[in-house]
Amino acid sequence: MTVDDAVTWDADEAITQIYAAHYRSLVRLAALLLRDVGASEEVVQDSFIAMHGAWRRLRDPDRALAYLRQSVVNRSRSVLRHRTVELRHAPAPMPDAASAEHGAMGSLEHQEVIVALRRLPERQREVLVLRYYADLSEADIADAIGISRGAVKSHASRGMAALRTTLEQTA
Amino acid sequence: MTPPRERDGMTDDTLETRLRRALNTEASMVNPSGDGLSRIRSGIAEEQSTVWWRRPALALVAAALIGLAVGGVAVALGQNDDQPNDIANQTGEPQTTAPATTEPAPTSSSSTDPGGSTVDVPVYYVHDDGLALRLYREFHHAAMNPEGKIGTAVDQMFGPAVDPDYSSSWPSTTEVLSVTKSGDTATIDLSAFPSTGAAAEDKAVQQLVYTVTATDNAVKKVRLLVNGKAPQSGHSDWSQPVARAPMLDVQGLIWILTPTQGSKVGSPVKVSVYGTAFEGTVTLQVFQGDTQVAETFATTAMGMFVEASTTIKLDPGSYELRAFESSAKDGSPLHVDTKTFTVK
Repeated sequence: MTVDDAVTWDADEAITQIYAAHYRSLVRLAALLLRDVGASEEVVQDSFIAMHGAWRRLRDPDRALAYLRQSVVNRSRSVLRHRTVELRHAPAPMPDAASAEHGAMGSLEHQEVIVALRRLPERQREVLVLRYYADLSEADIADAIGISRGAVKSHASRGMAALRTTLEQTA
Repeated sequence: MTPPRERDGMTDDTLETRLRRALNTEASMVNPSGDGLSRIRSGIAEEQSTVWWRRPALALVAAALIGLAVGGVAVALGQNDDQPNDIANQTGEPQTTAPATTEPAPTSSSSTDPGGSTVDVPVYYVHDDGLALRLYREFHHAAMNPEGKIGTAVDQMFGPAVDPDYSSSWPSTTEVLSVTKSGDTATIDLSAFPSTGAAAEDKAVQQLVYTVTATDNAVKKVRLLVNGKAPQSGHSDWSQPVARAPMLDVQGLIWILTPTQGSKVGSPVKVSVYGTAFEGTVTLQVFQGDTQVAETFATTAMGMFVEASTTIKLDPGSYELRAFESSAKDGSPLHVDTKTFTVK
């Protein structure tokens, strides 16, 4: 599929094509930020719905994907902001349930990294997830989070330094 | 600065490898349920059913149906010419520097008038500016609702916006059941609540709070009821009264105040915008069909909302004005607001 084909897509076609190519990885990206698959799916679905409305201006799969990433990061942040309220009023299943299952699968080693990652401030965590899971460039990370490339660099180095400290303490 | 390599045996390379592997393992456990596409499609269908007036073929019909409201917009803005920001500024938030006034918008009738009269009310809608859903204001001229001026404004908010780019996050069939005021809190009982994602739900509630607090300056908080009870939401707890979120978080970053949507104006056209942009610079482009016929700038402010205006000479004809902030990164348009208008 070439970009020439893509610019002739209407909004519905764009949704179908981009869904097929990127839905799962976007849900996984949101899940790394949110630790809740249901909420992650909702965030990504809302992002696709918004992208459908914006397709007239996007008209390009790369820009659409950048738009979706931005939208997923923003909406995930908003979900996290509400979570304290939700937990207080409706105790949800233990957020670590998925991880516990994971430990049983014998990958405790990586579990330490994930736990340390969760302790990082929001921005640092976002930068590291976009860099090491989504494999985005510095420029694309800056675009997705809405910060400068310089800020991406400093969040990344501070995040890595904090991870290292935590992991060395627990090692 | 020494590069953080080889400290206590753990190099960045091994840490990077560990992190990458951990994230990929964690991610691989996440498997979407498989009905995502159908959920997205039904979300889109729902959105389209509540914004049917967006479709160009129906726009004329919609304009005819709400002709009264269109007229009201022109009148209300005309009356506001001296202080077009009075409603936007009435919260007195720190980022607002334009002269703040606590006077309500001028209205064509007193808010204590019995039914049968008409009133101008500020109505907030939602628009996706390309990065986020944000709030945009219109003035509507409408018959007074039995629940008073607040009831009138909220009732308008459930209906169509004059600008086809704007929509309401609320089901269009929602009704205002009652409005009561106590101190600085208005309690509003509605027949329905939005069924959307968390971010859209937040914006819907702020759409209501901005509309109510702009309509009645004495109101600072809104307690929401749905059929007499606190709203059932899967996302947030709305049982406590809700105040306005900060303007920079929720309000449209660039609003075109004039020309208004669908208006007929003389040339030179007075273009006024209200908002905030990087270095204050708002780009104004005028299009005829797909052809750009004019471009100029207006200077607002950075980090605070102010009004700015300029004039553009145009031949008679139909035009679209686009106001936006050029991305500092690549010049692409951010926070776009558009209005179509006719030059006589």
